[in-house]
Amino acid sequence: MTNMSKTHLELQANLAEYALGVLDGRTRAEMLNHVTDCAECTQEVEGLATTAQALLRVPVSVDPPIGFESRVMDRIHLERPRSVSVSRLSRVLAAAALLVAFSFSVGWAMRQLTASTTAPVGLASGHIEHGHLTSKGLAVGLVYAYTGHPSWMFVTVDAPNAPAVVKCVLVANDGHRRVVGTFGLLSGKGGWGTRLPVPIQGIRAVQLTSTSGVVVAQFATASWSTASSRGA
Amino acid sequence: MMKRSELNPRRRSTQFLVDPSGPSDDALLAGMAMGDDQSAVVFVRRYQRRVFGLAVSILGDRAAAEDAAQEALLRAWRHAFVFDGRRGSVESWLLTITRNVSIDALRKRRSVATDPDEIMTLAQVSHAGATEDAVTTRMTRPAIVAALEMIPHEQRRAVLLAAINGHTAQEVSEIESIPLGTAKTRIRAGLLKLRELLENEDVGQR
Repeated sequence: MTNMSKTHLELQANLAEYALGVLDGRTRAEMLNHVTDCAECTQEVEGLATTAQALLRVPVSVDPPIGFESRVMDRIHLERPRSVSVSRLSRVLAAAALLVAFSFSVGWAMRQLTASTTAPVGLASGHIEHGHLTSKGLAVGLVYAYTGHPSWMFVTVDAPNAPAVVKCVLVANDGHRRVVGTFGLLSGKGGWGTRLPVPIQGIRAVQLTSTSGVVVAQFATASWSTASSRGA
Repeated sequence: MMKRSELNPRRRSTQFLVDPSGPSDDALLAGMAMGDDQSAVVFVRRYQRRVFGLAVSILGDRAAAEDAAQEALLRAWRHAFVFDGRRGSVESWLLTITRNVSIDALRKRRSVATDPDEIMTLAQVSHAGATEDAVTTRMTRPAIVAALEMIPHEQRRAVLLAAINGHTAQEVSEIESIPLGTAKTRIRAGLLKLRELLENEDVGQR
């Protein structure tokens, strides 16, 4: 047995604790280095992490004290900007490098995991719609849009061949094109959002273009789907 | 599932002012990332029982659990725009935040976490999960509880002490009065067995 295999076996013994997130910082760093380079451990830790996360669902759900929801929202309101501020959008843009498209690998069916435990709820004044951005017939991102007031749109992109900077263009029903923003992608991935300057019903398509105007990906709003937790 | 014709936004805007099934978690996070108040309300309403239940299980104190649950939901709101759907579900992400916040609170209070046997007993007698898990995944809550029942008691305790209460193997060894090596073995063997059971569809049918 080589030193290398001993190291592998020794570290492999920590995989469960690594997946459970209960290792000390130093050992965790060692594990991270090893797992990154070891396909066997990567595969094992993924399965164990999924099981570890599932265990958090074992405790019974409990009704919180009366007024809990209001108190949470009060705290959110203390931090929430009055509108979608430049600072928050900046944070969104800054996070774009970290943000990856939400659903490519998990799929919408997994979202049914989160069915409401109380009475059905929805957004009071509108819906959240979603649709796939496509490029040459392939899904390369998602567009979310809220139809209520104020309406907004959020785009996630995972298009390896996309340029580093893209423009977001709204195509109105009458064919008029309007650039609503520019954002960056890292290795083709990123996310960006904005308030919609026009009613969603007046938009025929959402396009991402290069800075020179070449269409990189697009979505026709006739294909909107309701971003529902069931049956999506 | 809605019919294709019902997905026409113009038509639906007049017919369905409130979507009875609610928006998906991804859509809610997108809304929260944009600072949308209503998305946050729906998200909180959807998960408050789960989040509070986990916090109570760890902290054993409703007042402390409320603080932790509030903090967890606030952090989810703050970080909605960096959620990575490829690393797990929104629920797993939120419950992991809740666990971490609760464990931090527990350590600050220098309190003792709820005994895993008590967590398991409550889970076994509760049927609430059955209605919460109308899902497509095999890892439904009843299946997870059933799998836990199938592994040895000492392994179950070790796994739950680590998974829910956040104890290291060293802490598990002290709590259970067993050597460190035994604690590590119980955690690893228990978690591996659980994974195997949960990957077996028969468990999900129980």
